[in-house]
Amino acid sequence: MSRRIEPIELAVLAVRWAIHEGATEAEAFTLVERGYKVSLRANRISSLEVVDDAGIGIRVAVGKKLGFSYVTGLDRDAVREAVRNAVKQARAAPEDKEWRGLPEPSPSYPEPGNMYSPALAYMESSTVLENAKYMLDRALETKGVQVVGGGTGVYVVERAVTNSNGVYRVDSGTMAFAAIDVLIQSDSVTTPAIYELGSSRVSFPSLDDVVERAVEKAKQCTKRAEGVSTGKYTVVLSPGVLYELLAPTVLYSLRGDIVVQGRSFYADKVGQQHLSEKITIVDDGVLKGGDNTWRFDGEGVATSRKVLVEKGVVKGFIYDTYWGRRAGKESTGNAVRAGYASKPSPGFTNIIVEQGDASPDELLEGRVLVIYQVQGAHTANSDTGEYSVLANPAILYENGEPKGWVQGAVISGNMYKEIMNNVELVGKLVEKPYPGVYMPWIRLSEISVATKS
Amino acid sequence: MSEFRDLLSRAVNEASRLGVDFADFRLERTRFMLIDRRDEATSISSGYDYGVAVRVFIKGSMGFAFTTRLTTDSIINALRRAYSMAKAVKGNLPSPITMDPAEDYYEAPVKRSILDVPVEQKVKDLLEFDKIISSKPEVKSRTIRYVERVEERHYASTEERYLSEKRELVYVYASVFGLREGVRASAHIVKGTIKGYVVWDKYPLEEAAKELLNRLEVQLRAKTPKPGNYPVVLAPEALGVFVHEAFGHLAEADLVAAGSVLRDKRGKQVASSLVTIVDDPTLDDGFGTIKYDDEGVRTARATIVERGIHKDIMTDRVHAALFDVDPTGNGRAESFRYTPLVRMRNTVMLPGDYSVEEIFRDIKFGYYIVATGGGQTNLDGSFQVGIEEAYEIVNGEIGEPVRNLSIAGNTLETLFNIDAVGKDFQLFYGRCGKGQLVYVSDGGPHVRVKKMTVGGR
Repeated sequence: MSRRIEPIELAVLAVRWAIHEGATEAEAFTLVERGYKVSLRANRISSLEVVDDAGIGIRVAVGKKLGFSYVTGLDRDAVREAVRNAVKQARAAPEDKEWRGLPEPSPSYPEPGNMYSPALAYMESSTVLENAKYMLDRALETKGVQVVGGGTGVYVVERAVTNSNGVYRVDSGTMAFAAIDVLIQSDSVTTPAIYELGSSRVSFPSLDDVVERAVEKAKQCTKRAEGVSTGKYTVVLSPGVLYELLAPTVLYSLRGDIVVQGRSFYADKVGQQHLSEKITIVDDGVLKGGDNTWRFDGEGVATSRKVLVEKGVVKGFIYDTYWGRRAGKESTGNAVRAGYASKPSPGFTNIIVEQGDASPDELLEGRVLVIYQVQGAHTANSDTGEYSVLANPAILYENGEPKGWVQGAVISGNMYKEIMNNVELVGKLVEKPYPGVYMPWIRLSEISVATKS
Repeated sequence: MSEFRDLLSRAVNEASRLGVDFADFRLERTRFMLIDRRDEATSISSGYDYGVAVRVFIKGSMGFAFTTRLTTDSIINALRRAYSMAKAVKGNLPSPITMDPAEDYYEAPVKRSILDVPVEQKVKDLLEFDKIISSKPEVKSRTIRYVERVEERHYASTEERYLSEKRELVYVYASVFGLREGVRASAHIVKGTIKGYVVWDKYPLEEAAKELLNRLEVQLRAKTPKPGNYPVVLAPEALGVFVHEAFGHLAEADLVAAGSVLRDKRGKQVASSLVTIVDDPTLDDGFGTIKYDDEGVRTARATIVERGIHKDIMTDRVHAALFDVDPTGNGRAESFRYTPLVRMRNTVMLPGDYSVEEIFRDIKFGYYIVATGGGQTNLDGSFQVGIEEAYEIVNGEIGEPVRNLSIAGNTLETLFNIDAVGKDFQLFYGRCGKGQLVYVSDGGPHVRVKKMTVGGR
């Protein structure tokens, strides 16, 4: 028998072995990832990579004691050892009184569509390379442009999960991305490096679009805007900045595990309006062609669409099975894994702030600071909502015209308060700054800005 | 001698037979364990991560592949895939510098191996730490993570370099959320060592817990600062983050090549003459203390700034060739799944002559910045560092605590504004992300900056 065992078959074996070793419940998750990746660095193609990764993560319970173990590759002997480790660790762990078991199979599973493309799955490495080359050449056409980084890639991913309650699911999908990081250097100025990304499940994203967005923003930084002093300003945040500031604050507080831990700002505010009525936030695991769309989550529960905030009113939170049960709720299909090496925990699928009705002209009216990127959003305080980040670049706009880069502008405030009180307008245009993140442009009033002058 | 010597030597022979300019192999095995405590729930995870990475350089191109199977056939198969990738295009990468044949096996010394301590003991210690921090009424939630790794890296190249290195690493992260009279606050600490299971000897449980609780207490009492420009004293922990995030990245050769503000600054003054910054892989008990990097280069200290003058950049093989400088051994990868990039190791500012008291003495009003939540730089030389523990300085004395602030500005301007460097020194532990996560250390003494932008509400 030289036939290579299928990942799901190995997962089934792993679950059986775990029960045999003394586990009362067991789950196995396999991930196989194949593809090509071309990296750009310092105006060159720096590497051409073949991606061929596979592994298995095994979660077991011995009564209410829990263990998890993973191993690279899909080698039977190694998996068997990982199973033994998981059971051994569970025995060594203190009891988790809150444990109420692995999930049952969902009554039905969605068919979201546009998750897999044979054209991407069978794309030649030479196409991925040509695309990277095209982006590099295209970016370097503009005088002074330096390509700091970026690249292109295409992946096929196969996920399988099975458990001792009868969950048995297999899914596969494709994904392509193109990203570039550019700056413009002249005698008088080095602009900030601007990062832009495009991604798609079924085709190569537009390379021209990615390059143009990055170069256009860098160009606006070649001129400096003087005379912007410390004070309160109306700011327009790009979709990427909106996401980066929401992620550690508002989105953190919409996670069910954070709610159960008592750390969520919204824990006791369901049904109340605690964000601007212009804000609606949706987690959509079944979004057609969404970057993070799958038929089931990291523990085999059907994915779904959830309105978490509707016109500023907090509606609910995302849960996996464990944290859902602790909260007395069902899983929302949000058990997310960062690969086979991680246990499932509550995380977002495709996260959406719904579009508003403001046109670009309305967003840019008057004297505003348009913030394309921020540095240090990860230092925002999740528990308080406080942030203090460098807007880089912040561009001064007057009546819709860019007037130049405001260097060294630090914006600070409290996202929980400002998303409630300071939202003036939400734009019509929704962009995807990161895979699975769908956000509009947004205009906020009275934001504290510290500058060097 | 490494048990993989024969396997790797067959792969090297095959690479030479294919006719490559240069090829190397990294066989890695990492045993990993995580004890995770979130309030009352504890779970234990482990992992066994292994694989072989192959790089092939041909005529200005680099092809890369990896396999998760440790057999001759799969390594040769990965080699062929990397080879055909590299052959697909005529690139313009400089040829990596090459070195003499070498053979070595190095095990970083430990005081007590983590493999000799049962998991039950590690759980017990963690629960004891948790018990201390959970006893405070204002602590509403805790998250504690104990991570241990036994890392084995076996390197082989067509230069006939066969180098193996093994080390143990322990990383503890603890975060608390507090609530008192409607005021919300949180704080965290990170501790580390590469000396085995000695983390609680190095940082006794009670002291580490006290440090964390004090940080939370300060946050609960703190007021928000006024945004503006002030004199600032950076404590070693905050200075370490500044030196790594704001400055170190700008001296990574790939980012220098991409146009960082340090390009063409070699030999020029980039900081006050009190400032010396090094990236030192030989410091005692640092997360970046390694004998060889992931390109089989013997690591060496990079003196980035010496008394204000920019000297070395940090390089990997390709960038050492590009800039025609000696390799520093800064090529590091998160795992065999990745190609090595130019990464830092232990990045520190060296101590100066001032006592800590002298540093504070002449400040009428300013801020004392102790601990941070991390930071970020951009190639234009701008930085942001988010602050978790800070105080006002009033007439040379440490005053009221402040919260929600960051420091930001232009890195080189800030380095020029350093007008006092302390005699003290401390080293800290963390992980740095540049598309890949690697374990690093940073640190330094207390320093005074004449003027810095402080953002706050």
